[in-house]
Amino acid sequence: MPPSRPLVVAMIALLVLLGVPLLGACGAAGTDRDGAGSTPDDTTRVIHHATGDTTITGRPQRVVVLDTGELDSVLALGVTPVAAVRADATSGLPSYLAGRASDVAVAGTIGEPDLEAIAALQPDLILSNKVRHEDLYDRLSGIAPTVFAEKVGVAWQENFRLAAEALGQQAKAQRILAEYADKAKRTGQAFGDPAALQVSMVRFLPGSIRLYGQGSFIGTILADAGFARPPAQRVDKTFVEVSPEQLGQANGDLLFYAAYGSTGKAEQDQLTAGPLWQRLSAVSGGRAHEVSDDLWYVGIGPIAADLVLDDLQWYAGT
Amino acid sequence: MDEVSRPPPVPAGVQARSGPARTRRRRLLTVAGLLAGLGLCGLLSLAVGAKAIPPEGVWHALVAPTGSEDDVVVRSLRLPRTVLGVLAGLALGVAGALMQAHTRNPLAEPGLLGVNAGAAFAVVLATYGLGVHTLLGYVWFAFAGALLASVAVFALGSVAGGRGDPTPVTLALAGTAMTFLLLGLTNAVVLLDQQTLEAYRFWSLGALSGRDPEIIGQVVWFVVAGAVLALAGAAGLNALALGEDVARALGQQVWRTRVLGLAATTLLAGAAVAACGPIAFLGLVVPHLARALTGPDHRWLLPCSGLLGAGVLLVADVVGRVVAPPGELAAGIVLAFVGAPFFVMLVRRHRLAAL
Repeated sequence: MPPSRPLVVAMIALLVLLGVPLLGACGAAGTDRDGAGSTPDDTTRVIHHATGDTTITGRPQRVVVLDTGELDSVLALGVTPVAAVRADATSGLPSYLAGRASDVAVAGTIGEPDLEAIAALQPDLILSNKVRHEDLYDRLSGIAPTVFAEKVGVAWQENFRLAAEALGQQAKAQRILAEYADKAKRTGQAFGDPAALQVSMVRFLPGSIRLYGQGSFIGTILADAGFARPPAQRVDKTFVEVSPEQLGQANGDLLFYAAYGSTGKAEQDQLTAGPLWQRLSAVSGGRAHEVSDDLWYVGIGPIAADLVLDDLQWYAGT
Repeated sequence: MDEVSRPPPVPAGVQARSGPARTRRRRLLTVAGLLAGLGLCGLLSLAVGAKAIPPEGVWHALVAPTGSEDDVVVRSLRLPRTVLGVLAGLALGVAGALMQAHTRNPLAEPGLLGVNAGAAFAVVLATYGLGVHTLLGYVWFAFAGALLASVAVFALGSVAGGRGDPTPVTLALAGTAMTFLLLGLTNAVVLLDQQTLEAYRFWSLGALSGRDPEIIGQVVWFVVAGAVLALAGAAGLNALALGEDVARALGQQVWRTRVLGLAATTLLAGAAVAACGPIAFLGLVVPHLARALTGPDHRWLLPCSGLLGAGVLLVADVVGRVVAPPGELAAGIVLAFVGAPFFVMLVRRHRLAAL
């Protein structure tokens, strides 16, 4: 039986799909050879990342970032990206970055980056991660050299170093991270012995209560500051969802809570007014503080980390 | 007027097998059994949850609370959701049986009148336009939306029914059309705004948890009124089951029975969706289970369907509390998991298609 027409079309499509990366690889190899022996600013290096190896020449100037962590990272390195994406169709870039990112063009949302707009900006580097855009990698690398991080949140320092490597600014990143580590320690010590304090992280979402674990962005900051965590939050996961019946697990020596969106806020208002919340010793002892959701839970990266430490130092003084 | 008090025709199959007295005794036993079962489900709902509380702790919380954490969990969380589960389950069970009887369609469910879609659209409008974000705040909007949608469907179905009477087919068609229209409008609003989408997604789960106990007081009278109306129309429904022409020949006022039944369905399903969000499958599946127990006489089928609905919803809620520790699964999701295969089974068993 001769192959049916759809099958032929599918086979051609497959050949084309297989062929494009091959051609790209040849091109990349060519650049590699050309770059050898150029001036330092024109050095060509191969970045090993989550979805492959990408060759980058010099210091990219026209950077597009497709997730909040990457946006935070490049801004921390003093690079203003030509475009970033919003978390969704209506909200803007994270509020804590709004001041630094006011000139950044918005090219779609995290869920749906506007590839045409990105291509029109003629970027020389695209930064994102496998979690969000694994499916788009091939199309993005057709537009510009693309570097993907493996994970989000918990791996923010690693991702920051990766972004710095792609931007050719490793030394600056190293300095920023060293300053962060030092500041985190000092912040912890501002509370006396941080290891004696169990810090609980609670987030209210529509219909659910999350306790953030050690495998989250905020979890790494608390760990770097030397804080202990309540038993239920000593997990490698980003968060555990608990039933309202288990609100007791949210207790700690120090408690920080926030709500995601207006519906989360309504949830927070209802639960924090309830008898189970009022029973928490952190609440009755006045050691439960409402914090910015955008900064503590949505934010990821060195700038967010620095601002969270500022907040923590302020609470140490109260 | 006196046709109301006339004994309703009992479907022939029921009387043929055994004498009326024996049938009656068997049905009374069924109702007693269902009541006992519901009591058991209620106890289960008070005793089992995400937080492990020993039975004596639950007992202690109910009779002599001292304000301990367990007492607070049982009294402020489990008690309200148990009461709400009984109300909503009862409402959906009765509404489902009514809907299947009126449309003479074994696959009909309370949402067929556009009640859920109307409530959803009203909730989305309230969130987007008025910034309402609490479940308590949604109750009246959802109920009003359900009511309006149902009235619109009834009007459309009546106009399309030719003689001014809505027929099962025109009602189902009008309900489906209205549901799709409202769903389209809902999606249009939700796409405009992420926060509204989040709120809608949360509301549309259909759950008993996190509900302010105040909601019970707001919907209980609608459930009571709906149940009374439903029982008042039960005898007429038996006649209607024989076909509209036969029912007319038997002296039934078909129009009156229809209005009564649809008003009851709207009150019941509207109250349930306003209190808990849309809960799928319960109103579809429970009447079939009840029919297997009591036979097709609506004077028994409606109350049994209500009792069974309350019990099933409580069990679904309890299952949802323990399957995903330390979190919970919404009762609506649990029911969808169990209800979907049941639905397929129903469609495959053509015996039920001959309702």
